[in-house]
Order: sequence, then structure tokens, then C-alpha cells
Amino acid sequence: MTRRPYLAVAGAVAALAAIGFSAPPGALLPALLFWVAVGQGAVALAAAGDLTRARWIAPLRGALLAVHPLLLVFPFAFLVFARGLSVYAWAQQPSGWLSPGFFVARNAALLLAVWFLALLYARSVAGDTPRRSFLAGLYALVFVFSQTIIAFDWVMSLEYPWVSTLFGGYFFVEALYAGVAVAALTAARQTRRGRGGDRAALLDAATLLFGFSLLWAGQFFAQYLVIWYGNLPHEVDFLLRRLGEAPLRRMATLVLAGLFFIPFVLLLSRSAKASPAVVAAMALVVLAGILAERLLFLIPVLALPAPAAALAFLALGAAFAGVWRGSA
Amino acid sequence: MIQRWELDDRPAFLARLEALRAQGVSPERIRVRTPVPVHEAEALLRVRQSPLRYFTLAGACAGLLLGFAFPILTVRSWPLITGGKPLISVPAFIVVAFALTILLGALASFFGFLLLARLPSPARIREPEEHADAFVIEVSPEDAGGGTNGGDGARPPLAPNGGGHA
Repeated sequence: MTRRPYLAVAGAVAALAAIGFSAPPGALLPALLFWVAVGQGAVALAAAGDLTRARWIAPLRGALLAVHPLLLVFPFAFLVFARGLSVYAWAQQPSGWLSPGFFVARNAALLLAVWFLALLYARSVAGDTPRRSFLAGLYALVFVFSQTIIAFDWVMSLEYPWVSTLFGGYFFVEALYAGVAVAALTAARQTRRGRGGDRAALLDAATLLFGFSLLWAGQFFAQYLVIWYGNLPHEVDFLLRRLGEAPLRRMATLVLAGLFFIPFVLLLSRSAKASPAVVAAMALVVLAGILAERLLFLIPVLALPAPAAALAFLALGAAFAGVWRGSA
Repeated sequence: MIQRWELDDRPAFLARLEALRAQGVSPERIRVRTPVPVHEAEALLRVRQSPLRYFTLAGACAGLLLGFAFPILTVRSWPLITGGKPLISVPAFIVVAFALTILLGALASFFGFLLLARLPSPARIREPEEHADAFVIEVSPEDAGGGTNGGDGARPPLAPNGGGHA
């Protein structure tokens, strides 16, 4: 194993600390929300492939698992972010579950646990040890738990007492969707480089991307329909703030297009699924859709310092590129 | 005389098929039977895509249109405000449209398949022998064209989709 991934990790932690300590509270939240989904989702897809004995994922597994050092950035970045818990209204009146100490402890511990399990799992895959399947299952379990807590704690608690029990499931499916997008990007890159036999992996990754667009739309609609139909003031507020008027309404339309309509329509065709350029473009559209959606969650309730948030996003993006390009 | 190979696994099957094509054997002379779909073989044999997908598309589009038309026309014919919602409430109608899209798409695919597979006469698609999980390649002699299919010389090579066991 080279040191390059861990250099990228150290660089990202230093950059995020510099940004977090100098910017207003909440500056790291959008970048963290997006890259945690991408990083944890990529490893989770490899684990899901192992658990289902998927053969199609074999050429992509290395690149997906290579992302695991990035997961070490998140506990540190979260601790920097947690300095500014004043962005949460509940911090003024802490209660049992939503009290600063417990909030920081459970989230930091979970992020650390996800990284540690990803490390063990990646090593067991490299050594092909018998514990591989067990670790894949354990990682998947802790991943689901971590994403659920991220959804409930980081995002949903911003609008407490608004609650949606599906929000956790929605987040971990979206993280897996991001993982599929990383797999599709990897497959497109490998196919462009002319590695034989990878065209099948490209087709499979594109098909999975197409399938996840449907799954995402189903989950989105399952939440939307219930809130729309119930029409209860404390539930509808969440949607009204985002869908009520421009420009957020337009942004919500873009999210729907990026995560469902565009990948669904364009990836219907078999020749599109076999084209590395189209598949890579669709993967980027999906990732852009996820980023836009995370921003849509935050913008109405959080005064985001745009330059600092953008810098944090780029710092984590550079770290991701450092670990991912090093292996793909 | 027909040349014939029975292979146990997919890589060996594809390697043999590629070798035959590299030797210049025309796809029309090659016939394969596989226990599972092998898309690479379709490319090698230049199999025409089945028109079944147009049946699915037509059925699904009809279902989508019907799914919106049915609730919109009924609510216009008998306007009854429910739960304070507008009469034409698209989110609620999406559920009906989605279900009908799937239903009519699936039914159209099923009947399209029956039509394209020349059912309801099973005799026309029945294979004379059983190949279990073997990957079979048959190459007909050069002068016989594609005529290895029970005298039905006009039929293209069998798509490698497990049709041998249909």
C-alpha cells in the first residue's frame, strides 16, 4: 500500500480544519453531507457485491475499496464542524437525544467505526481471508446505521420538530446510489483505457445506475405523497420552504431531473449504456443531483457561507480524487 | 456435415465462437444454444434485436396515458372535492398511472412474446434434444446456408437466450 492515499487524507484534514476554524459555523456541513455519502456508498457497494456474490463488480472492486482512506477524514472533519453546533436550534434547549455531548460522541464514534470496518474489509479483500463476507455484512450494517444517524442528526434535526421516519432509509439508498455512480465512473474510465472484458462491467454499472434512479424516485415519491396527502402544517412546512417559490423550486426540479428523469430516460437505450462517455456523464449528473439535493436541504434553514463551503467541498473532492485516481 | 461443440462454461464458449468468427465463418452458418443469456454472443453473431421491446413500450405508454386519463375524466364527470385538494391532483393520479403503466407494459410484453415466439403452437419452438446447462455451437456446411433449423432455412441463428429450453 502506498502512502499517497493517506497524504491526501492528511491534506484534506488540514485544509478542512483551516476552513472550519476560520469560517462561520456550518461551513463544512454541505461538503461533509455529500462526500460522506460518496465515500461510504462506494465501499458499501463493494460490500453489497460481496454479500450477493456478484461477479460483475470484480473489475471495479479495487477502485471502490481504494476510497476507504477517505472515510478517515470524516470523523476529524465532523469534530471541526461540531464546534459550531449553534446552527442547530435545539442546541439552545438540549434534551436527551439532542444534546451536544451525545450528538458529537455518537456521530464521531459511528464515523470512526465505519472507517475502521472499511479498513478491515479492504484488507480482508486484498488478502482474500475467510472473514471477508462477515466483514462485508458488518460494514453494510454499520453503514446503514451511520447514514441513518447522519440523516436524522445532521439534516432532520435542523428542522426539529419536523420528522420523517423514511429519511434515514432515503439517505442510505442515496449513498448507495452515489456508490453506483462512482462504480460507473470507474467502469467508464477503465473501458476508455481499453482494458479488455470491462465493457460488461460498464453495461452492468450503467444498468444499476438506471435501476437506482427508479428506486430513488420511488423513495422520494413515497415521502412526498404522504406529506402532500396529509397536508398537516408541521409536515408541509418542510416542502413549502423548498417547493413554494423560485429559486429553490427550480433547484428542486433540477434535483428531480438529475436523480431521476435524465438518467432514467437516457440510460433506457442499450447503446447508451455501452458508451463510456454517456455513462460517465450520467454518473456525474447523478452526483451533481445529490449535491444539489443536499444543498436544497440546508439552504432554507442554514446561512451557508458560500466561499468557505465551496472550499471545503473542493478540499474533500481533491482527497477523493487522490484516493480514487490512485487505483482506478 | 454439421460441426458441433458442447462447452461447459461461458468463457470457453465465447473463445470458441470468437475463433470461429476469426476464421471467417459467417454468422449465418453458426447456431448456438445457451442456458443463460450471453450478450457478447449476440454481438458476435450479429443477432437482430427482438422487436418485443416495442410491444412493451406501446403497452407502457398506453398504460401511462390511460392512468392519467381515467381519473381526470372521471373526476371531471363527477366533481367531488376530497380533503381540500384540487379536483385534478396529479400526485395522487401518479399512483394510478404508474400501476397501469406496469400492468399494460407487462401484459403487452407477455402477449407480444407469445406472438413473436409463434405460440400457441409449442411444436414450432420445441427443441428436438435437451442440452441441460451446456453451451452448444453448431456450424452448418458452407453450401447449406443457415439451414440447420429443422429445414426452416430462412430463420436467423437462434438468439443465445436460452431459447433451446423454452
